[in-house]
Amino acid sequence: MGEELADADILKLSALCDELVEGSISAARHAELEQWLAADEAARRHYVRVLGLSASLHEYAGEFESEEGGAAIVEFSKSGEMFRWPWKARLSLAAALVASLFLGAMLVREEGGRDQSRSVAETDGVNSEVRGQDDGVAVLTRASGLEWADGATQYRLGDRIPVGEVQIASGTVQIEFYSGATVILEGPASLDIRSANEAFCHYGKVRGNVPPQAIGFTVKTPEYDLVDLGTEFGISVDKNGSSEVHVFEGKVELRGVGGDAKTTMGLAAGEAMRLKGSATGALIGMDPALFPESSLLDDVDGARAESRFQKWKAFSNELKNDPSLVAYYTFEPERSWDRVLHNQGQGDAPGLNGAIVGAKWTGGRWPGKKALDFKSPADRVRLILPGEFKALTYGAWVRIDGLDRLWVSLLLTDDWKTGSPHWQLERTGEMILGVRGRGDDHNFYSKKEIGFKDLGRWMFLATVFDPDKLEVRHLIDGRQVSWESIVELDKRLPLKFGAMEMGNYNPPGATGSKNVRNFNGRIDEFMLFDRALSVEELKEIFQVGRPDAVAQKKYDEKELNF
Amino acid sequence: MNLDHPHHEDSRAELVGLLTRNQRKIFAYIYTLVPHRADAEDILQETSVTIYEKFDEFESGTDFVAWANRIAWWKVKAAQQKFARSKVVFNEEVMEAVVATVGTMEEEMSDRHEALGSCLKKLNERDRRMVLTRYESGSGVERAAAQAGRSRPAAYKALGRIRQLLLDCVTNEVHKLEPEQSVDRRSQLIS
Repeated sequence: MGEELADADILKLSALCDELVEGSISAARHAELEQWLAADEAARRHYVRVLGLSASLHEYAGEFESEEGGAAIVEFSKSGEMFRWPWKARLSLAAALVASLFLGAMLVREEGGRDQSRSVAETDGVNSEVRGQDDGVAVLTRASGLEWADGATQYRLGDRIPVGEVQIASGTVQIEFYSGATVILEGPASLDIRSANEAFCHYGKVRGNVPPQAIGFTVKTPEYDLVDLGTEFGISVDKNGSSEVHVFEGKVELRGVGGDAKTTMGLAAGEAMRLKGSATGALIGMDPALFPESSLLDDVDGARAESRFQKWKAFSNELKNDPSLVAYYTFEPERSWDRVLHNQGQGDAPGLNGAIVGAKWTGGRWPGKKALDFKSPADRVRLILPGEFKALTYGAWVRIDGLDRLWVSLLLTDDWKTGSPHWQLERTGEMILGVRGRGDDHNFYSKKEIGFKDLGRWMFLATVFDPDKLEVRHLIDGRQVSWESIVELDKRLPLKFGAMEMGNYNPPGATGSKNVRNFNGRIDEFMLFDRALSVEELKEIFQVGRPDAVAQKKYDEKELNF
Repeated sequence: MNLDHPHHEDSRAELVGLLTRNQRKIFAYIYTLVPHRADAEDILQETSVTIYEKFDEFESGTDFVAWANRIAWWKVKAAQQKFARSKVVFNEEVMEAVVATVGTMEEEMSDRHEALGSCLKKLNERDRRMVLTRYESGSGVERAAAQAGRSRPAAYKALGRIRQLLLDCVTNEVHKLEPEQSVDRRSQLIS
């Protein structure tokens, strides 16, 4: 104990710690590290220092996130003050608000759970979770000029891809396998995904990038198997059976060449081979340009995202003039340390300029678009909206990262009195609009629409309270997923907000885990209208605001029939 | 909101202050046991909820970080089920040994965190950009590699080198702060 480590040991231990931090450590190396730590206090101290460094780096890096990297780092190099200021400012500004809000609930819990009626009906789903499980082995991360083949499964950006065929008619897609391997597929192509570390290429061009974690990633073809031994390669397979393999970096192994399962050939960086039928192949000139490039995808993606972002901006500027748009948040702060969420809508109540507590600025639907990230139970936006309303439409672009509370706030009034509306989600994946009637509660549920597949993707949630048609409608991505009659509720009942929170809940005098309702994820646009929008209007808002250019799944077959 | 209960104001203000000042330390504690940012943040979130639910059990004036870390320790153990098949968690004996070591290093770790701020400033632009990109939320070696225009193996290597530079610089800075104390002397100039 207390002994210093030798320099050689320090280097060795640092390397083990690096692998641990990067998630690339092998089982054997992990066991080695574990034994070392069990036996040696000096090793443990070094371990704590190295891991502490990474923990601190996460903190320091976090301070730049909302600044899109470049600008902030330049400022940082000019002045040490710039480096520290946003973080500290954020904390001190937040602290006063947190003092009155986050802990309001704590104060309240000592006053006892006298109010049991405030929450939505509690019989359903208390222990149920969002449906679905991760049957994916890969995820579709990017696409450009993409057209799916006829009859092929159509995936959206961010969709998890299960074992099965990916068939594209033209364009390119980037698929990241859970093993860590990334492939870029150029159409026309048919790739049969067989596991997190294996695919079968019937035809098409594949560029594969394989990090150390995924060594052994295999692309099978009708004639042979390509096993990657690390880094980068291209393979193209023609429908007529001829193929080419190009190795840009590292090594690959071709197994079963010439129809002989035992024949193995290695190709190293800079080498390329053309193979046809049972021939063993001929070396040809290596040419990376034959294969789709990741950076190319970047450019096309970037340009398309930029153009969609600009279209949305123009649309959003128009939308601001809608006299029924009481509160409208575009989440476009002037400064990354802004703690006020400015109302761009027509409502003039000062309390509509929200106080941001805890939530951090982060990236939104497109590069350059900002969003607020709600993570900790303290994170919230405080708002006050006076007045009475007859009809309402809520709309929000959200990226749900988890439904980890029984109820999850979108916009909840502090009060639960006659006329209070509560817009929230249930852990089961239902959207809920709750309205307190004269002495009774009315909760308008959607079906369990939000599933595991939706976690981590941007979606547009909207709910309409329409007293003329006597119904409440829930919509996801511009598609109506449910409606329910409100005849039981007095349709002239004035709806009242008062003090409320986006992304959290601060009920006075209430306690218990049911009242922890913090939203987990991002919000980058939020609107509240004092009229009932039609499905067509909400569909348009969705179409303009949708983040991806990939063909969406056809909803027709899924459209609910009422 | 109930702002009109002065006898509660103090404890609220106290908890806010304590959490604000110490959240980073609790995160670092969790991270040494679960070295994966998203997982560690989830555990931190669970820990914060419990801290806030149990704050009336905390004795004012005693060591808040130690108390909070104890809650974090139970949260890590509770999460162990989830990580059991993953390789990032050590067996209990080792975790306990590591935790005991962390307990003796609190002051040093705070100093090291501060020192890291000035060490980052000493890095050259390219290295700093790369390491900060790697450690952004939701990022990783891949993004750092892409941004630096390097291959992934090259980025792994570069990050290892940068971490070593930072580690040495931090050790050196901390050593300067307390010249009488013997710390690892592996100081090198940052190039």
